[in-house]
Amino acid sequence: MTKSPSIQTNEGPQNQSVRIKSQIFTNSDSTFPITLKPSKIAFPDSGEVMIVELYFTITNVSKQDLRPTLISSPKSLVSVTLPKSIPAGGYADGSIKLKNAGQKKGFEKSVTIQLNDDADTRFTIPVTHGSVAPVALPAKGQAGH
Amino acid sequence: MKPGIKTIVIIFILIMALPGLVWAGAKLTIPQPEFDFGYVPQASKISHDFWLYSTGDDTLKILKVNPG
Repeated sequence: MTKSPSIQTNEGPQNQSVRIKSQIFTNSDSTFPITLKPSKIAFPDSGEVMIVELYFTITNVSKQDLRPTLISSPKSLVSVTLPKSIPAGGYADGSIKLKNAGQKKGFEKSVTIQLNDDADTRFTIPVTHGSVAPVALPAKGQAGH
Repeated sequence: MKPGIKTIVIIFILIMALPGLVWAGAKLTIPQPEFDFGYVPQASKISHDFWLYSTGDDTLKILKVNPG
């Protein structure tokens, strides 16, 4: 899916536009070369004990080791930790931690990562705080096969 | 009828100011106008910040943003 929002300014009659691309998936097991579980991160509303860090598991379903890198994130709200590499056929955990600013207010943002496969495949993880959404799974092991 | 000194001075000023009139104006520059989110789960909200720079010599005014 591609969208091109346009911006009209006093520069002239012609608009300028930006372009965003995405590939929507419905089944988190259908993506390649990795699968992400959960595919969305949702920090619940503050209760007596505030959850400030949630984990996600990256499973490498390809036949090559993969290195994820962070492309985009709401840096003032969260810090993102990614594994250095994920062995072929193995898995590793990443985490998203709320910073002070992210703990104080609700938000709906996202984190985009990129892999070093031939296609430079990207994945975007929606991150919300304070809205009703599926809650992330607790941490598993750090890495393994 | 010969043009007066005043007329000549006005024409001279207009000629000198012409390049400024031609080049003056607001200008919007978007260094990275494209972003690829890659795989995105269905029914989710995602976001990305695009940086817009005002690179002209007049104030840039954003008049309207049309969603894609």
